[in-house]
Order: sequence, then structure tokens, then C-alpha cells
Amino acid sequence: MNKDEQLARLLRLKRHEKPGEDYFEGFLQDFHAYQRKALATQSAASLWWERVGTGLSALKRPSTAWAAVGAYAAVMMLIYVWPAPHHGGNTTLVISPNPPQASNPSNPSNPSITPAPMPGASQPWQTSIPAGQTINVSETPSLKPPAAGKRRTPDQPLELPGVIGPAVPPTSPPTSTPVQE
Amino acid sequence: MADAALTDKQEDRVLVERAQEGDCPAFDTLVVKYSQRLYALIYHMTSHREDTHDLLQEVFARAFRNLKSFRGQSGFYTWIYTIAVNLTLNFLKKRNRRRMFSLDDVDNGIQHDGEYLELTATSDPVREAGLNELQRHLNEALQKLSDDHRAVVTLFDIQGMPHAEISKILSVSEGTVRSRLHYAHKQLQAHLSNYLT
Repeated sequence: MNKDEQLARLLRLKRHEKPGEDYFEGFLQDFHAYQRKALATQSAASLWWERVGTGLSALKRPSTAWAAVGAYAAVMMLIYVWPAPHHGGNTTLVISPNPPQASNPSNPSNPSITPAPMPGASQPWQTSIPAGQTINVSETPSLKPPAAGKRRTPDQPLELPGVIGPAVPPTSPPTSTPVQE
Repeated sequence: MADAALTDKQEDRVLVERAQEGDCPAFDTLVVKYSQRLYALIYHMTSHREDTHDLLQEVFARAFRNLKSFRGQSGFYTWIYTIAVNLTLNFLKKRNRRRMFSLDDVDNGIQHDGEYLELTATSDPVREAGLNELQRHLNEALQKLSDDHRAVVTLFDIQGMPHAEISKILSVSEGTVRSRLHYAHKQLQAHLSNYLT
């Protein structure tokens, strides 16, 4: 008898390791008690996961199935979590009591923040809205993004036709304080 | 033999269909029918009686809860064996992570088994060794195998299952089953060299 056969014979001895007959007689009752207890304590979510797991493990290639489920979950997460592009949406405009200070017009390196002269205006701008009031502008057609090259800088006012009153050109250039850089 | 297996499968199918329609005694019949074989499977993978008892209950409970999803593509026997093997392998992974399973914990209660005593008394190398010691060595050698290799040895050598059936249960190819068996046998031969002449 070679070693393989001897090993097989030794391992076959383990077939006789089993509990007494009374164990299996009482097992059904133990199982019923266990089932009642498990059904009372298990949550719906854990039962759902268990069904998914058992269903996938019954397939021929459970690892492939799990990979497919993972990929699907990743795609769905990307769709829901990825930030949607902002197209105007709701914009809140705050009319500040103190208009923003224009930068030094003599600074040629930053020409974009120099306010444009507005004909007929005694101040840089005039508005009929009381200072400190907040207006909510939703999807206003005139709030379309400016054309390339005419992009508004953060300290330039929004142009709102009909809301902001007719501008009067300044009699003198607006005073400006140098901007600390 | 083939006819008997077919009848067995047909009997299972009828019982499963009845259980799927809500006939609980039909499921009880399946529990009684498979509890001994599944107990042996789980026990030989865990070498622990209490763990085996808990796992066996969970296997049947899980099978009962998922019975509606069983469509009969494979036999009920294969299906419930798959549940048992997967559940036991998951349990062993958790047990190995939680603590190193002490080999002192392996079961040593077989010396009271009359059938085992009779069989071992007729085996030459075994006769010389104490029964208790032999069982301890066997269990220790099995516990030294990886969980996957132990599963294959349990299904093939102890339960006498064919390669094709094992490959279905473990969802691996027959080649993988044979390769795992070959490796596990080499390991076992090294661990049990005192009992092999």
C-alpha cells in the first residue's frame, strides 16, 4: 500500500467522527427555535443582502457577478455624486450700501477692474433698490455668461436691465483707493 | 446506482416545490435528510462541535429564507452544500482574524465512538498509536491546511464526492480541484509521516 492509499485510509477514519444519535433527534427542534429567534432579530437590510449573496453564489461564476455588481454600483455612485454643471440657477444679488472700491486706474497691469464711465450718472451706479435688500434672480435671460473676452471680474457690478436705474456719466473720474496687493 | 441518484433528486425536487409553496414539514424532511452529511462537512472543516452546531442551524435557516430563489438549475444537494461551504469558509476567515485558533481547541471526543474503535483496531499503524493521539494528529494536520485546501480534502477524501461535484460546489474548475487535492495530500503526508510507512 503506497502513501497515498494509506493517507486516504487514515482520512476515511474521520467519516466515523459524528455526534450521538440523540443529537440529530433533537436537532430539528433546536433548528425551529433558532429560526424563530433569527427571524425576530434580523433586519430587512441584512435579509436583502443575504438574498443577494446567496443568489450570486449560486451562479457559475460568483466572482464575476460580484464584480459586475460592484461596477454597476460605482457607475451609479458617479452619476449621483458627480457635481452637476452650474448654469445660472438661483443667483442671489446683494445690493451693498457701500459700493466696491475701484482699483487704481493708473495701474495698467489690472485694467479689467477699472469701472467703465457711465453717461449721465452722478455716481458710479444708481439703483432704485434700497441698500441692504436681497433680490433673488432665477434664470434671468440677461444673466447669461458674458462672451469670451468680456468676462466680469468679481468686483464689477452685475448689469441688470430694468433693475438698475439709468446711469449718469460721472462729472469727474471716480476716486479710487490703491488696492493692496 | 444512477437510478437511485435520480430518484433522490426527484424526491428532493418534490420536497423543495412543496416547501416553496409554504409546506414547512416538507422542509423539515430535507433538514432531517441532510443534517448528518452537512454536520460532517462543517465539522471536518472547523474541528469544533459547538461551531458546527451553530453553523448547521444557520445553513438550514439561510436555505429556508432563500428557498424562493432556488430554481432547480442544480440539485438541492449541490445548492445547500454550496451554502454550507461558503458560510463555513466565511466563518473560518473571521475566526482566523479574531484569534489564532488554538489546536488545543480541536475536538477530541471520538474515543467513545464504538465504530471508530473497531475500525482503528484493524489498522496496523493505527493500532500502535493511541486513539486519542491519532485523532489529535489528524485534526491538527487538517487544521494546518488552508481553508480552501481543507474544504477540498473534506469533500473528496472524507465525504467521497467526485471532482465534478466539488468543482460545482466551490465554483472552481476541476483542474483547480485536482491541483488543490494534490497539494493538500503532500502537506498531509508530511504532517502525518509517523502514520505512513
